[in-house]
Amino acid sequence: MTGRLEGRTALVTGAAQGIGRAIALRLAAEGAHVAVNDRIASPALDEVVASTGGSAAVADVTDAAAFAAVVADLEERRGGVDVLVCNAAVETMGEFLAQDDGAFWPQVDVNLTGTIVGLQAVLPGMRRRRHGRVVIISSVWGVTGAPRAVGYAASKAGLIGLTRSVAREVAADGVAVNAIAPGAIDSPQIEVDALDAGISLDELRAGYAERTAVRRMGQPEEIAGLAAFLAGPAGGAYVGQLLQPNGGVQFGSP
Amino acid sequence: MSADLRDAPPDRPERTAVVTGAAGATGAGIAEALRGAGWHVVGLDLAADDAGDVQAVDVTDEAAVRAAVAGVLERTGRIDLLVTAVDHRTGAAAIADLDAATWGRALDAHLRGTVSCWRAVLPSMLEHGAGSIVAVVPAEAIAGEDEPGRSAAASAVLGAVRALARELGPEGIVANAVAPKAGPWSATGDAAPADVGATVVHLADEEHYFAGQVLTPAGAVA
Repeated sequence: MTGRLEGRTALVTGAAQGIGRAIALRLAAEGAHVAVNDRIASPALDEVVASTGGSAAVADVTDAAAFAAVVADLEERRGGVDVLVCNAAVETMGEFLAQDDGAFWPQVDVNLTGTIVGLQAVLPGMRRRRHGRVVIISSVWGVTGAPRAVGYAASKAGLIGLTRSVAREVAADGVAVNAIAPGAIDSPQIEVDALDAGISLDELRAGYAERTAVRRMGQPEEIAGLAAFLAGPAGGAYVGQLLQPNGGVQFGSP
Repeated sequence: MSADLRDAPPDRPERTAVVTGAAGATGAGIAEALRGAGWHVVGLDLAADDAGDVQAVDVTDEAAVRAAVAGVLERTGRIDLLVTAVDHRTGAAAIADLDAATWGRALDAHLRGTVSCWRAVLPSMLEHGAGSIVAVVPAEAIAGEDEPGRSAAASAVLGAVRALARELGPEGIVANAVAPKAGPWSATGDAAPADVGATVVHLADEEHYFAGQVLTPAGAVA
């Protein structure tokens, strides 16, 4: 494996499992020190910290003060955050009008506001050092929309506008901000989808695979490889782009 | 992308890529990046180069393309990756003033020149149940800027890429497009050939989940 991130410090949110975990492992394999963020301390978080040889960075992304403290700590210990991956997300399925505030709004709070919190915390240092990479994990549902996932889709669509706008403000300072909109990835999050659809995980996987051009679901490692590409030197050629690794389930704008 | 596309078996230490438009800056950058990543690269363009890296073939001449591809297959046994990087400038003009011959030349270079290469390599890729196709088209063309003939022809390639991704994705063929564009932050005012090359290497070497997509490198920030 090429060490495209030797000497870099990366902060990955929501990295205790799934796509975030895979990204943390890949960035570490490429040479980065990885600060592994999750909402709470857990054995899963400890495992990722041990596997990456990085450090734990416990903070709720909706808590701006707590997240700023994590970034301040990394600036002190590591000289700053070179790579931020905004991956933390929650999804609660259900009919739009039937979801109460407690079910609906956390999706916007964590997925969209949490990403804004992350950007506000790291961008000043990145601009000062005139180098930075931000990879924001959106979703194919942010492009296509999805029934029973209105809050989730809205938050993920919001990330696309956020990416395209912030990227243009900071590109001149050597900071590249981009988004990835994964399609159906075989990660723990699909358990939410299966439960909502009332079908088994295997039935869900088969259904997702059938709708793609390549007849399979994606793997977290495939999203991690792309995140590492965007976090590395070559990623500087991308500014405000939405990359859509979705197996061909959706092309371009809907 | 299937495992056998990424991991060459011991008797095939190098994977083989065919790159068209290889004498142009973008095509040459792609070929160089692929060679740097360990690929055996056969370049095609209208004229051969002195180094022997580029073979003379008119990609709009389907018989000539078939003959060139047959020659590559004879030597290497397999083509793992096809990158078409042809660009044809029609010149700025009002659509009303474009004559049929100009439209025809643009469509020939972009669409026929791409599809003829696909037709030549796909039978072998399908035989192996794996292959990667990357079509490189200029982003400013697909955005409809300045040159309507070039714009229409380059956009047609994207439609063809999506159709190919859908039709042959189930057979193990992974088709995508790269549309380099000029970002205002780019020091050179253009996407650097090396950046386009890095994107192609990612699509060629990395486990990824792209199919029928357009990736848009736009010239590096610091």
